[in-house]
Amino acid sequence: MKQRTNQVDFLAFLAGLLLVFSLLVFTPVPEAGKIVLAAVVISVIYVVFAFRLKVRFEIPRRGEPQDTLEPDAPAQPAPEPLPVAETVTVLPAALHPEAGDAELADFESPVEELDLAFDPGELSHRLAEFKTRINESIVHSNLALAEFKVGSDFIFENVGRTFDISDNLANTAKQAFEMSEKVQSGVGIVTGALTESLKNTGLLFEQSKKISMILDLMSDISEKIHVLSINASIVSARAGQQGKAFEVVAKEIRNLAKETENSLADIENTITELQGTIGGVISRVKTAHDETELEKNALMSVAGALQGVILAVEIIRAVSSLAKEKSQEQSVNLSRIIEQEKSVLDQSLGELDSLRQALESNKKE
Amino acid sequence: MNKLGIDSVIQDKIKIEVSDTATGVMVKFTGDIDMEDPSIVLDPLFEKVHSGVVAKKVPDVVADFQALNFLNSSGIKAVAKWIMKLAMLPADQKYAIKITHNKAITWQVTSLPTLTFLVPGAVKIE
Repeated sequence: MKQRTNQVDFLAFLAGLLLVFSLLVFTPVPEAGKIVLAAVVISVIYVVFAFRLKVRFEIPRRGEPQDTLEPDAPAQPAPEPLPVAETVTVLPAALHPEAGDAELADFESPVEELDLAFDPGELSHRLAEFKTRINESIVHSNLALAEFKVGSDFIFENVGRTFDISDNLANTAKQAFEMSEKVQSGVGIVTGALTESLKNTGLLFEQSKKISMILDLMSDISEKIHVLSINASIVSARAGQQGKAFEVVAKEIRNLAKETENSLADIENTITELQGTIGGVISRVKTAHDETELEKNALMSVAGALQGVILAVEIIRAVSSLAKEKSQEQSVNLSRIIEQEKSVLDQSLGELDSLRQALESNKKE
Repeated sequence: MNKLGIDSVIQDKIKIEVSDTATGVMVKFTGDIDMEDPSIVLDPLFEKVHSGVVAKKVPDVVADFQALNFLNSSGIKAVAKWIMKLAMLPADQKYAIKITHNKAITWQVTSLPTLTFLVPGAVKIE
């Protein structure tokens, strides 16, 4: 479009020159008149083209200073803020089709209402600013997400540690529970042995009582033997001389009975002492038995409590395991979100860059 | 038959009965849970109880452990898993769980109150 306009201008200029030449050569006027006429035509041509150049390359804005008419002049910095869109009819009266040059009018752009707010240079500048702001937001957002991820990873690590600690605690409680079970088993064995001992010492006591009864019997027998020996002595005394030998026997029997009685008394004393000792042992064994029975019950309570600790820790492990899974999932999701955001934003920034470049190219044209 | 239509479970040394109460349902455990993998029995039961209670909008569930003499760690894990499902429900679907325990059984006194921390306010012990 721009090239065509230039071509039109050049053709128009040539046409104007041809016109001037024609006037100078063919017009039947005096030489001075020809010169004046040529000067007028050249002036008109000059004014027309100068005006066309001014209109085409620079559109004056209301209330703002006029820019240069040079199309290659560097763009002025865009003022702040962006002005309200305005519209201006651009076609100058001289170039109106009704003014005469129909060919020019054909190549003219149709009358358009131009949006004064559309300034490619300013838009490019604004896009650059926008991009900078987006970049800053991205940096802040990424920093925030990175911090969040750090926090999430920290939570994940701590949940993992809690899980490990609870695992360790569960194992310790389990070992303690197993030890308490062993001790409980040992105490059970001791209790069993004590019960057996109690039973045996009871039997022993019963047997000692039987022995005592037998001793009593033997003592009776001995007493009777003694009485018989006395009777034998009396009978032997009555027999006189003939009974003297019998007297000796009776006397010996009496002595034996007495010794037997003494031995039986000793045995009776020993048995009595034995019974006393047995009684003491029974009492102590019973006490030990009762105490171990109590300890066994206490151990069962300890084992129960340890079992309860194991179960409670198991609950903690279940919760920790779930929390660990969720925090790991969250950490993975965060990483994915950060990557996706980065990709989308990089793409958007790339598109913004392309747009800005396109606008700058457009502006240069 | 109870309002949830769940049959009683009898396996090894454990018996689990589901019955209706005035305000909800009761799940009663009797015996010992000491099998190697009690989740085979407990997980499906708790799933039925949970989904039935949510579907029928039953306000509370009583978990009666008073007659349960022994519970191993896999068993308590299954119980905890059930209670954590309650935590995942939206507020308008949450139901209450009341745990009744036997204070003469030491492991119950030590471990069961821990379950109340899983969903504070929704799980109580008495």
